[in-house]
Amino acid sequence: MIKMKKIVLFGALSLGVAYSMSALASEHGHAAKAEPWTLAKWDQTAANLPGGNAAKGEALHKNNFCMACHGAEGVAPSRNAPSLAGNTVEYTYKTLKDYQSTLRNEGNGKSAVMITAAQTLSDQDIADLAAYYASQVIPAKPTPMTVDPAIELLVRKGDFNRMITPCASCHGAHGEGKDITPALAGQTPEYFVRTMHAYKNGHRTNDINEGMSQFTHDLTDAEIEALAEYYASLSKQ
Amino acid sequence: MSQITRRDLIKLFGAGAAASTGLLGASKQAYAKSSAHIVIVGGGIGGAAFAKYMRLANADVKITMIEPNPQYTFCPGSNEILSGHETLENLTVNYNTLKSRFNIDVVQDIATEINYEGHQISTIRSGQISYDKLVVSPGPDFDYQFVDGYDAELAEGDFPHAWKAGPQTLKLKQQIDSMRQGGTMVISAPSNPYRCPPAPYERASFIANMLKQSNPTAKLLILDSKTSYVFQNHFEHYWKQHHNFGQENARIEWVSAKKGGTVIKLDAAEKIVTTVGGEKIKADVINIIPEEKAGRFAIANGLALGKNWVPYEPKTFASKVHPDVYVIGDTVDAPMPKTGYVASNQAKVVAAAINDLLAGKEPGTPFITNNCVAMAGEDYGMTITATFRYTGETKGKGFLTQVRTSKISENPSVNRIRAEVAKNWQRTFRKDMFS
Amino acid sequence: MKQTVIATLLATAFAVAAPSAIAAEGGKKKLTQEQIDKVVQSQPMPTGKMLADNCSACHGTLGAEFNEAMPPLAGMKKENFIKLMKAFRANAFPTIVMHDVAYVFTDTEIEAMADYFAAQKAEEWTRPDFKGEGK
Repeated sequence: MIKMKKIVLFGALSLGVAYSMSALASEHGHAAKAEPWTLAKWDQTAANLPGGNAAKGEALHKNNFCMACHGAEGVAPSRNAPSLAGNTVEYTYKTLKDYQSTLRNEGNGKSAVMITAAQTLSDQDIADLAAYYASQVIPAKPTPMTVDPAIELLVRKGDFNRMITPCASCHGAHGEGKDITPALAGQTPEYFVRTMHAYKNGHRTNDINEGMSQFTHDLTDAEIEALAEYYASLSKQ
Repeated sequence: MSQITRRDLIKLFGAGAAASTGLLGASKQAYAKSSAHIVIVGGGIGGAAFAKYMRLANADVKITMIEPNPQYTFCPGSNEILSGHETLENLTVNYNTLKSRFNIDVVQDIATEINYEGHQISTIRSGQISYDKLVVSPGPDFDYQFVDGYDAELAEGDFPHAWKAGPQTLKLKQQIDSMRQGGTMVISAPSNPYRCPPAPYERASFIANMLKQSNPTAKLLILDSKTSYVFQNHFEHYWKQHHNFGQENARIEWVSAKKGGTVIKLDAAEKIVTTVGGEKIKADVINIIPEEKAGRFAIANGLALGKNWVPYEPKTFASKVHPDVYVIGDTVDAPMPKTGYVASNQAKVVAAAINDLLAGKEPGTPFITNNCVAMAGEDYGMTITATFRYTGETKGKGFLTQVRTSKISENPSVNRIRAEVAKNWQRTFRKDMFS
Repeated sequence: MKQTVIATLLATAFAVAAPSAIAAEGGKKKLTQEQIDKVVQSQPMPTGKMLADNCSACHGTLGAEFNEAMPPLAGMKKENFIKLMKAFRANAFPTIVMHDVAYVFTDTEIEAMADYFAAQKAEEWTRPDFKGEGK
């Protein structure tokens, strides 16, 4: 029996306002309940996004310890952290807001550093960082990989039987991302896998209306790993 | 095949082959020389790290750990129990992984006596255990003689020192929680050296932070047997911000040994401590952190050579008493702070040295670091890094030390991220020994 | 069924801003670089494993722990490790503690650690099993 899925109209998303700062976690424990987004609320937030200054974002990247994990120019040096370079302004902005509110927490104190780091940023700081990362590019991989046709199919066509929409329909034909949907091209594969499992296992719940997690439930571990390798090998075009 | 014995197997294949079949499991019988039997006294951070890293270095040796307790409670993080940010359960680990995955024979028993000539160790219940190499990691022992009227019995009763995380920690927490409004708590900090140098101040800080919420007119007095301490600038900076430190209405006060802060007497019935300056202070909660010396087992077996701490050969941490006995952790007289971090790295040095010696090789150059964290509160961390390089000199203690401490930052995100890193470290550190 | 990968996001060596060099504990006089070099050169270099084992209290046994604040080092590309450690050593950008950790290492020590970690399995959590009952 195929579960009914909520289809989120990514293309219709725009961006906008004001996620209330009052929802910020208390200083300790990050236990505060964060209010989930509605599409309307995000639209409002996105429509009122502060203009970002990439130069200021670059300084923040360096001086607020982002660089220590996410690497020079936002290209992650280890298997642990995602690369931030080349991501969309909206995705970076929402992600940092979600850490700030603890909506994104991965459970069990595992995002405590990111939550803490985000809680010290103003909306303008976040917009500056978002502008900086959007202006950076992940270097292309030297060797293109041969893609398993089944994975190619999943990316381009999805799987109707499992109600999985094509990855490319939201993340772009080259994994370049769009608006709130993150860029995946060149992303750290281990991070990609962890993220997919986090969605699948309900540890990551900051996607609006389960816009991402609904597609992960029926993906196999092997498919997730193959997708991770596929996207890691892509370059944004 | 069911009749086959170890002896038969050894006859058939030689001892190494027999051992590596894995059929023999954790037998306590003597091993043949070719698969040496390494015995560890003490299953704390030093002992557990040694057992695991010895096994990682060598799949064939037989490793036995003698430890009286079925589980171990980490001290790092235990000050946070007092303020309700941590639980004893979360800091408590067992030996299951060491036993099941790393093939360590964990004998729940008390080691008593070393027969150096016969290479045997006596235990209370398990009789004699033979060893080829012996590693001694008993932790420190408390030396109550410096505070007249204080002793181990009182520590187990109404005056917990809580300097080993466990029931005393919970007792102390309960005393602080039930202190009358506006009451006074005294912490007596010991002189150097002792386990975890910043911990008395970290403890004071967490307690003061909690009192600020629950008992805002209470006072916390640190009476110190030292004239300064590590991270003093950080703690005072934090206390000025949060507890009016240095002012008339300070929640937290520190009395240096220079100002007569050393506590010399406890009147348990009246709850009064007397300092070396003759001042008598009545308090609602009294937490005397005792002076320390090498663990009783080490001293009873002559390893300390009549001193308080155990002398050692810096290259391998071999005892000066017998070359097949190694001493690690708080009990050793090393020019290093007595921290779990250092104990774990000394353990790795010894594991590498023993493995080299078993292979007939000269042990390599040791290298030890102590990259530690402390917190003044959930929102304030600080770091220290120390590197100990082996000098090869026979004079002195054999290591050159380079130390750096984090600077005070006015950026709150720096302080908070440091605290989060401290908590991350605690999690990883526990796993490095016990998972 | 493969092990589920834990969703620890983001990570890495945060390290300290601006250290103050103290020579030895107890505030003894500051060591000169010549004194330090003399000691370093007087002994054979510690092995890459000996140096790297000092990393495991934060980065996990064999460098294989995933932790939000500390990245796994196991399986890290040699050139990435060297580049990053040298940047830490040079204090090229603020870190929580890594500059204070890295400043003591020589080039050859950094390379030896890089070789050691590059040779470790790039697993999330290496769990060797010496009783052969592994899962």
